[in-house]
Amino acid sequence: MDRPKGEFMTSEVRTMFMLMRRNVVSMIGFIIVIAFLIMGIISPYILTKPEDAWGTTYDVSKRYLPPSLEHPFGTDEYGRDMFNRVILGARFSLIIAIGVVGLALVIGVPLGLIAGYSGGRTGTALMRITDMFLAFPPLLLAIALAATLGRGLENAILALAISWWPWYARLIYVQVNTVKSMPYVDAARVLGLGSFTIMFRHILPNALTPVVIQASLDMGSAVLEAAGLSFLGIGVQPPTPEWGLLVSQGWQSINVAWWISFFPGLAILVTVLGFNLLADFAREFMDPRLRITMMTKEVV
Amino acid sequence: MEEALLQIKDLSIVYETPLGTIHATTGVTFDVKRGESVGLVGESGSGKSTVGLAIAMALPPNARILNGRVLYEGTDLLRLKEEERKRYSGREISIVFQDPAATLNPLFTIGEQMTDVLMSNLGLTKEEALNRARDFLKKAGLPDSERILRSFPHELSGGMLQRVNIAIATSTEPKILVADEPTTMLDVMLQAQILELFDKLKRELKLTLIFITHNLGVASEICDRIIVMYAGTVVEDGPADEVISRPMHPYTASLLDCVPRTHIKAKRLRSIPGSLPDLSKPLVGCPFADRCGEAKDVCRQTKPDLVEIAPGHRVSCFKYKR
Amino acid sequence: MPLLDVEELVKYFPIKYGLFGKIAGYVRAVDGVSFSIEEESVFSLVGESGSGKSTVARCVLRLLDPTSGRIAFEGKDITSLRGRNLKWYRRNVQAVFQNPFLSLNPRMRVESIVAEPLRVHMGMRSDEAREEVHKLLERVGLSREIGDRHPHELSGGQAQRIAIARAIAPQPKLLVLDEPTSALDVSVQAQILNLLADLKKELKLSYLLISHDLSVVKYISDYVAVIYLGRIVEYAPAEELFNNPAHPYTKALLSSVPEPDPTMRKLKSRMVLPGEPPSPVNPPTGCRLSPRCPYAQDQCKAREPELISIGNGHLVRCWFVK
Repeated sequence: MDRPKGEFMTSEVRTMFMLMRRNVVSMIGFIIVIAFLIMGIISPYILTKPEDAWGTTYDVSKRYLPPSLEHPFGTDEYGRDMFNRVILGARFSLIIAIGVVGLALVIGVPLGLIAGYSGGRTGTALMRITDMFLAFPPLLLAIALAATLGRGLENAILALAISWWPWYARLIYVQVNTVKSMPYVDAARVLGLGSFTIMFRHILPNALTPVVIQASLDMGSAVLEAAGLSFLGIGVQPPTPEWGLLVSQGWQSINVAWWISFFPGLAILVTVLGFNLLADFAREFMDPRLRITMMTKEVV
Repeated sequence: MEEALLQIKDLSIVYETPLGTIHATTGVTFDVKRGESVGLVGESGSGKSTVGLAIAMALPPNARILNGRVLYEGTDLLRLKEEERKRYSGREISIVFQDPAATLNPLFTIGEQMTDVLMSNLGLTKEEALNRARDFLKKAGLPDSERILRSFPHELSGGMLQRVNIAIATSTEPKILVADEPTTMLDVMLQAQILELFDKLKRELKLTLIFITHNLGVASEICDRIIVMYAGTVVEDGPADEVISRPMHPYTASLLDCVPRTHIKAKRLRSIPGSLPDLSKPLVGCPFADRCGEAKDVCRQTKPDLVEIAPGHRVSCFKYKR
Repeated sequence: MPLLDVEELVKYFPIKYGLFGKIAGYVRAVDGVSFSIEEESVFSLVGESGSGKSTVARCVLRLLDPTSGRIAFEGKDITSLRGRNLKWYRRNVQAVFQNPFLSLNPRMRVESIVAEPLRVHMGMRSDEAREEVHKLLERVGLSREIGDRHPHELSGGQAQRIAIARAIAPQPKLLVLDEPTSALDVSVQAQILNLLADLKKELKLSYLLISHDLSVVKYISDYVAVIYLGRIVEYAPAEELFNNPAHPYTKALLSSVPEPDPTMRKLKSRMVLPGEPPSPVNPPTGCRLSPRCPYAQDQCKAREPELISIGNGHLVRCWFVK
């Protein structure tokens, strides 16, 4: 008897966690991501030197101090403690990650949903527009938009979201097309439900899961791209301790004080790595054939 | 008396899933004589497919043999090494599956796939393999063999694909052919055609046939013997005609009552109340006890042995004294 | 006045290709089908895959717009009604589909699933609806606690009962049953058929049953029509059809059903048609069965016969019946 291939939050999620525990590499990814999320939320409240972190003071006497017990990540050209700055940077990276992905979903999902449900000419037309956006290399588009919109955190988020929404629109469009032909949608029509109800109660919840999973994992890429924008000077502006910006600021003094760029760079690397490991796991998990291999593998 | 070609002894197989262990079969024991056609009949969860896959050495990677042996001409198939397995699998023992399209690669023609199989399994040259492929396609009821060889799977109908699968499976002239619900996905007339084909091939190629189905009617049309399975155990094993007309096990009898028949206008179908026991736990007592109208206390505590009550007819039920 | 009257229903699906969607041809799924269903009566449409029976069901359910023809319910023409105008029709005509795990929204709890039609058609609020849902669950043989579960947590039989509960919730007059038991185990099938038979009497329902399983059809139907390549080839009261099949296709269909009982098997005359049904894109000229029919003569290939009455309410589309 056929069981639908959709996601059932209870048993599928349990299976997912169980498999994750057996796979060391994805466990690492999971821990990194959780650490990032926690850091992002609590960092403003656990700073030991908040003025340094927020960049409101400077102390020339403490410039370019190498890593030590008092300053685990050293100090920058303004004498600010890098450890605090990197910790607070997590908060901004999290804001950007959630902001970009969230906004992209808000734009992309309804569009993809309507395109998928309407089908026919409307659907194809909407998807052609989406395809046009997809034709641009995403980072390039974001850079162009950010440069046009001007500097600042909000504009960076907006620019990235605008370059991103087409992926989610397309993803949802494909899902909706599959779900549309499911017998429970037929059943909903036979019951006499209106289009709106069918779209939002029957189609959307069943189409959303892969998109949500994809979006969660994309947060890592959002962090990376935002860092890229700040590194180039567009997007977030000093004294905000966003990681990409910190790397950029330490760049000039790289020969004298390697630690100023190093630690923020490491933070980006570890965060993105964590998300990517989790994404690899999720992809293997989705594929039923690979999943059987996962179930029989001994603990790596 | 000639020794059986295939002997299944006390076979217990589990599937490991992240949510627990599923006991697919428990203590399955039966013999198959050379040239016999045996029907493994049961509903979902009966373990019939698992037994068939074990015989064909086609169990999925998460299957674990807890106990038991599958003896083919004396050799335990379950404990062969990879290279030794290749001697039997696909050559002396073949399998046909339920979904006609599932085992065929959509990117290659039928000819390419058949010659691949024949060249690797029998060491033939390409020319020899093609000739043999043509031969067996014709035997499988596809006289237009040239066209079939040049076609891709998606160009052929379900019925034709299943004939192709049967051709591939029989082209190595196996001693044992396992058929796992080969007609379940086909319409009733096509099913009748394919059953006729199995019958013909069985006699022509002197096959020993293990036919897995949930349909007692199909089993009785084509099998000499019927083995009824429930919740991973064998509950009845006897000559097909006898099992149908004088079923001994309460499950077999209930199963026969459930089926509406075209020549009988029943007032009400008898159905079996309840459902399968939980297969994630080892079985305690007779697995059918909860749903059996005649269950006694002993049935819930001890599992009845499979005992020969009439010649060639075994039942696993406390109703019968040895 | 019949409850449902279908007149010359035609449904063609265009085959498009190329950038601008040029039309290459049509799949003539339903090519002129007429029948009517009275109150408290079970009408079955029997055929193999590709016969068009499911398309007929979908047209009756207005999931598809007919290409031409007329569908009337209680005398009112509903063929071209859409959207809100259909609401009255939808309340009176509901459906149960083949696979309950696909026809029930996996993300909804059972209670919400069954309550949905109550809200839409009877304007019930949550507390009223909850009471009614419990009554409906009990009526289909399930406990009220099942309301909190999700469909995938249930067995096939339970899930199909939910689908039935949902279908009878708005108190319809006609249920379209599209292969309601094909995806279920045999023992469960019997339970569901018994339930459907009971509900028909209790709620004074009519059924349009679509099935390929002749034994199921025989068990529950009052009238049966056999459909082949989009046309009805035989129609009769159930008993009459099974006792005196007149059309060669019906005879072949009946003889293809696997028969478990060995004595009955010997009595049955086996008539298996060669080949498979041709594609509905290009139906044969003349009688559609002529390429495969053992009795085919020249006149069969030249002109398609009409449906003529041979007495006892029995209609046949064949040149050789009086």
